Amino acid sequence: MPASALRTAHADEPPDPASPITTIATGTRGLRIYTGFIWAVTVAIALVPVFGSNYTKTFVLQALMSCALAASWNLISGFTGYVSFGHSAFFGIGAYATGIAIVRGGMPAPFAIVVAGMAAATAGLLFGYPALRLRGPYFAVGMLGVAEAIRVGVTVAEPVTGGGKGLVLIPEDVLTVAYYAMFAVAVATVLVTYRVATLPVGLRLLAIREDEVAAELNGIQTTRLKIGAFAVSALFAGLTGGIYAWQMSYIDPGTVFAGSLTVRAIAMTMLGGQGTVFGPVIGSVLLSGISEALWAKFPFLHTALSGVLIIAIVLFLPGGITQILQDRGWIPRSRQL
Amino acid sequence: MVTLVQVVVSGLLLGGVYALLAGGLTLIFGVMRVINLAHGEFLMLGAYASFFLFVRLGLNPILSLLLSMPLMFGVGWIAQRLLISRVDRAPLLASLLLTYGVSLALTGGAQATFTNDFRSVPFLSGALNIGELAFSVPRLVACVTALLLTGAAQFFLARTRWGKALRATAQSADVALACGIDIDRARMIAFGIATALAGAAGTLTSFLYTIYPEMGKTFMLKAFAVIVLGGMGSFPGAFLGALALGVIESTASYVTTTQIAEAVIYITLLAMLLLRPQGFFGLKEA
Amino acid sequence: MTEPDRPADPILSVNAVTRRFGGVIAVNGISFGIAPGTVTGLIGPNGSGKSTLFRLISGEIPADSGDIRLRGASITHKSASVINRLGLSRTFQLSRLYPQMTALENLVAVTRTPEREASDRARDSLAFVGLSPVADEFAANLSYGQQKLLEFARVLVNDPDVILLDEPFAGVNPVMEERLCTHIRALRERGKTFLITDHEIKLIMALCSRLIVLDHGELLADGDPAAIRADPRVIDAYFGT
Repeated sequence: MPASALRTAHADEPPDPASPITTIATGTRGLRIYTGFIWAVTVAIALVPVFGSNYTKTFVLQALMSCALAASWNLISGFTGYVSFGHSAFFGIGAYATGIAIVRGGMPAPFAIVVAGMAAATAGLLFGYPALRLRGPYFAVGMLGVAEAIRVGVTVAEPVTGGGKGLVLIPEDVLTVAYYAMFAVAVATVLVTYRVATLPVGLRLLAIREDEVAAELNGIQTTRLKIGAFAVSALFAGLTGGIYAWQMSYIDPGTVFAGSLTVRAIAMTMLGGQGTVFGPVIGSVLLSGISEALWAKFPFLHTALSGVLIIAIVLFLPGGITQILQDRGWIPRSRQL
Repeated sequence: MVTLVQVVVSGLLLGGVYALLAGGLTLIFGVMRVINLAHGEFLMLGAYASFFLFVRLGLNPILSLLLSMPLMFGVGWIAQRLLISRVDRAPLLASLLLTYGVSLALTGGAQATFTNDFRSVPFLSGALNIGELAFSVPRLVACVTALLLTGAAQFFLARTRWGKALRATAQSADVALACGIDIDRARMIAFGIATALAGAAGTLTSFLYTIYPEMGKTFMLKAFAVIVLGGMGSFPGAFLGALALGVIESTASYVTTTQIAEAVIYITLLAMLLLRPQGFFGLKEA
Repeated sequence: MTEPDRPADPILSVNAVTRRFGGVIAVNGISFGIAPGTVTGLIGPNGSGKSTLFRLISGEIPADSGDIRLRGASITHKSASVINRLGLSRTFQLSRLYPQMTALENLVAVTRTPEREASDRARDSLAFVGLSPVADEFAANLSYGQQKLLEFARVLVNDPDVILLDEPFAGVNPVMEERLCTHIRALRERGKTFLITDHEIKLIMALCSRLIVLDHGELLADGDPAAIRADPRVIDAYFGT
């Protein structure tokens, strides 16, 4: 049957020019506020190094790092529903690849960071292939194991990595440059998410989350897609880790493979909205702000309060802010958000 | 040969305590498909409970179990009732993140309350010599206690009415509900028992290792390796997995270093997930 | 050009296919071939192996032994997505849609044409089953019948040659039933091949030119509806009690 055969059945139907993927109905006030917020945050972040103090820069840099990690976690887990509890593995690989390339290879930092990103992506392919065959809880536990195994591996490989004592990079004052580099990575991650979400491939990833067997039986090449998304996610996490190592000029396994990095990324994504484009951005802005305020006010209870905050997010905002705004009709249901 | 036996036996002794901890973790997973990331923190609470009962009241840690286990059962019951019950039918991510939040809250609470100081319970010491073999007395006592408690839990699951209700809920919550089982109560019982077992494991570790707020993490990761080995959701599987892991860990640290032994544990976990994700006795859904 | 008298080569053939679950033989050495452009009914009591056979043909689970061929080429060891891409598609007894995606998105997600065409094809497919008005509704919010139609539309969107329908009429009201039958006949006229399971024997009899009857995982009878209706073994196994 030719491709047009189906069309003959309803030749009288007027063609509809709208995109197949739920699009924005224009003119919604809530939407203007929503996009206004995103733009305002972006512009403010771009201007921080011009007007802000070093403290502000350091704080926002931290928030950008969280945002990039959250957005990259969202790319695999938010879309496909494969909950990776080992995302810090790729951050850590990026950090160590950068550190080793600079310290042992004498490589200039920007190259080292790019190499680190590729190393993390390669690791994503390598681990993704076997790990993504596991379903649900098995994948979650498996990735937790991967992150721990790599952390221990890095600790053991002392001649190369410096072991548990950590690795000192050549100290440089690169705060502003690192700031913009991190900004660029965060923006790139969100832009890639936007591109994915507004193309059929985004729907295919979501189809894996909704019903993987049905997706496979409808011809979606789930394995290839999952691994691809996993590698891209790892790439951005690796770049983030690389910039972190460069800026801190000191890394140790306990810090860059910390499970708390993963959990922060997950909590931020859940707060903003999993499988959405800007959810991780909103989540990271809010949670970084709240976290900083808590840290300043209750330094001794910070960890405990972070825990309570995460519990509160799961209990009261499990679908995320974006979904709540959509349910109330304040912003349109659009895959572009 | 003597060393080999020695290494294997100390591994088995270690495995007994792991079995106690992992038994609870696998019970929770089996009954409600929740991966409890706060399980290690319940161990930590149990350890502190024994520490304070020992230091303040001079209570023998083993005897203190009579006090701490019902207490921890209550903690688990309340945790299930107030928190976990609200996510145990939600997607996996919700329960993972929630229990991680509980874990952070407990660790942070312990840091604020008990400080980050390392503590220990000077209870039992010395070794028991049998021929050329020497067994650490505290480890022996810990292992025997752990085996008794694990056995009691297994008896409860296999023989009692509520134990059967729990296993029915694990098989299929819907069918259990249709058979008139109060599955909400079954879940609270399961979580309570699991928490009491974790607390008891904490008591046993209190006189074997140092006590500090973040001690739960390492134990929890080992417990994960155990339940993956045994098959997630299988209580007898966790027992065998724990003994296996104890021997693997003990052998690896004897042959190499403690650190490499830790790596071996995670590699075992990953290899098992890849080769046989359902473990020795697990649920066939991986 | 094939001669009109010669029976066409089967587009789908199942040769001595067996599948066990533990100790139970769900499908035991079943063989049949299906000619292109026909509607064949696959019937049998519950547990007779119909669902397993569907899962085997669509590649969801592998066969223990035997061979399944599509247009003469073996698909026995191909993955489900590859089989779908080769032109064999199925629906499910209980619709398996992507609930948090709109009706249109459910189709776009699986459409294998360049991006621009994907939208058109998806809309055409929706219009064909009469679901254009609910294109932007979440699949989870559709009625049971609409969900069945949407799943049918999702199967059609990639223009497969062979379509497996798993109990398409179960729980569907008479108006929907009639529409579905019309669609199936219209598509058969265009050369599509159908294999349908259902318990609505009257509908199956009316729709199918041939019936294959399974019982306890074995092929019990195979022939035109009139012959099947008269077959004492079938009456015994199926219509009897």
